[in-house]
Amino acid sequence: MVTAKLSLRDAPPIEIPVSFFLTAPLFLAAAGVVVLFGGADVLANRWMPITLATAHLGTLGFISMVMLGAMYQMVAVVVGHPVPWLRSAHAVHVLFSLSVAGFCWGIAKTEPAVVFAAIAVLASAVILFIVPVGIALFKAHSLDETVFGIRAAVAFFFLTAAAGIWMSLGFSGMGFPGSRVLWSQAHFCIALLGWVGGLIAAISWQVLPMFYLAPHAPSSLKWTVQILAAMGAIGPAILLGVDCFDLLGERPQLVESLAAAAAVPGIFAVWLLHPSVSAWSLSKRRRKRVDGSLLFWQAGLAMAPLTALTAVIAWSTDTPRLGVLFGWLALWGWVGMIMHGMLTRIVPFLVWLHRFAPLVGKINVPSVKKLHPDALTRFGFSLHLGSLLLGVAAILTASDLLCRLTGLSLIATAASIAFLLLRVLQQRPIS
Amino acid sequence: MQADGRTGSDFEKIRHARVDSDAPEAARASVVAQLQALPAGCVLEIELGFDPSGFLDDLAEHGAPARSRKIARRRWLLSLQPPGERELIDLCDLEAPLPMQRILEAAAELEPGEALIARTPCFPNPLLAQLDHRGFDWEAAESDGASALVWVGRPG
Repeated sequence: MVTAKLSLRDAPPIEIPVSFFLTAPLFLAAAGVVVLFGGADVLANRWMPITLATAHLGTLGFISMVMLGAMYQMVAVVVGHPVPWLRSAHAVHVLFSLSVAGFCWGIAKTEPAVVFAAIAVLASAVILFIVPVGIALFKAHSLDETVFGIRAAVAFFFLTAAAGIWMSLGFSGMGFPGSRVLWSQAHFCIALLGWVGGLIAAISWQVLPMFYLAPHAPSSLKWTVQILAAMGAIGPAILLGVDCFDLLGERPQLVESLAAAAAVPGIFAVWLLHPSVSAWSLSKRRRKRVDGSLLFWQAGLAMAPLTALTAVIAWSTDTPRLGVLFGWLALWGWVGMIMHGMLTRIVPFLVWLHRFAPLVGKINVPSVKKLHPDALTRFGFSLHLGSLLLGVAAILTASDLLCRLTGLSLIATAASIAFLLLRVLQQRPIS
Repeated sequence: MQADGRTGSDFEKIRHARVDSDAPEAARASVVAQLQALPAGCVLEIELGFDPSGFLDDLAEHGAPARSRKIARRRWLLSLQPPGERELIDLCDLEAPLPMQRILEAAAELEPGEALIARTPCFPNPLLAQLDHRGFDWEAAESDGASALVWVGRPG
C-alpha cells in the first residue's frame, strides 16, 4: 500500500477555470463566422491561410483554451499539488486570448506584423502557463498513469507551441524553418497525439469512474496508452531535429515518411486503444442511465477510429479535401465532442463544489443535476452532431451552401455551450 | 494512497491485511483472530484468494458487520468492523458528487466522539478538503485500486 500525505490546500477559485471555459465558445463562434462568410474556400485545402486561421480558432481558441483552464483545476485536485502564483492564470487567460485572436486575424489577412506581435504575446502566455504548472507537476507526490499523462501532455503543449511559433515566423515575414509538409505534420502529431490525446486519456482514467461509475481500466493498459501516445509525439519531434540539422541529408520525403511512421504508436494508442478501453469501461458502468454528457463521450470515442482511418487515407492519397476532412473529424468530431461533453459535466460539478458543498449538512442543497437540465445538454449534443455531419458533407461535396450552413451550425453550437455555462454559473445558494 | 487529517487519535482507523492461505478453515481462523484484535471504531479490509461469502453468516453471529466483494479474478475483499459498530455506508453506486454530499450530511449528524465509515467509488480529494475546513478528523485510503474507504470522526 502506498502511503502519502495529501496537500489539501484549496482548489483554485472557480473564476480561474471558468474564465477560460467561457472564452472558448467565443472562439468557436468566431470560427463559425469565418466558415459562414468564407463558404467553400474555407474547407477546401488546409494550406489556405483562411483555413489555417479557422483551424487555429478551433485548436487554440476552443480546445487549448478549455484544456488550459482545466489544467489549473486538475493539477490542484487530481495531482494533489496547488499551482503556485495562481494569479498569473488571469494574465495567461488574457494574453492567450489576445494572441490567438491576433494570430488568426494576422494569418487570415496575411498581416506579417500582426502575426509577429501575436506570437510574441503567445510565447509569453505559454511561458506564464508552463512555469507554475510545471513546478506543481514536478512536486507531485505520486506518479500514476494520470500524473504521468498530465506531465507528458504539458511537455508536448510546450513543444507544440514552440514548433508552432517557429513555423509562424514564416507568416511574419521571416523564413519557414524547414520542409513545410514535415513541420506541419510533426506539429499536429505532437499536438493531437501528445498534448490533446495524452491529456484526454489521462483525464479519462479519473473522470469515467468518477462521473459514470465505469470500472477502472487495468493499470497496464493505461500505462500502454500513455507511453505509446508519448512515443507517437516524441518520434516526429525528434525527426524535426533531424531535419533541422540535416542529419539525413537533403531527403525530405524520407524524413516525412519516417515522421509518419514514428507517429504510428501514438495513432494506435490515442485513436484505437484508448477509445476501445474507454468504450469497454463505459459499457460496464454500474449505472446504466445515459445522460447527455455520456452521449458526447460515446460519440467522441466512436469518432476516434474514423479519424485514424481518415488520417491514413489522407496521408497516402495526398488529396487536399481528405486532409481537411481528417482535421475536421479530429478536431470537431473526436476532441470537440469530448471537450463539449466534459464542459457540460465538469462546470456544474465545479459550481456545486465551490458554492454548494460548503453548505451541505447546514441547509438543503440541490444535487448537481438540478443545476442544469439534461435536456439542454442533449440539445447541445444534437447541434454538435448536426454541425459535424454538415461539415463532413460540405467537405466531401465542396458545396458552398453546405459550408455556410456548417458555419451557421458552429455558431449555434457555440451559443448553446455559452448559454449552458452562463445558466449554470448563475446558480447560487438561496440565502 | 492513504491520507489522514486527525487532530486527536494517533492510530490507523482503516487497516489492511491479506490472507494468503487458500484453505477456507485456516483463512477463517485468521480472519476471526484479526477481527478479535481490531480496536473499536476501526475497519479492517482483508484481501482473500477465495470467496468468503460462506462465512459472512459466522461473522454476523459474532455481531460484526461484514461485506465482501470480488475485486479481481480469484481475489475478494472482505470488510470487517468490530461487533456493535455503526455499519459502513456503501456509496459505490453513486456518481460524483453524491458520495461527498451523503458523507457531509451524515457527518453533520455526528455527536462529539462519534464516527462513521463510508466506501466511495473514487479517492475523495474534494471531500477531504471540506472535512478539514469543518474541523472533522478523517482518514482515507484507496482500498483496491478503485474504491476508497473514508473514516470521519467528530472530535470529542
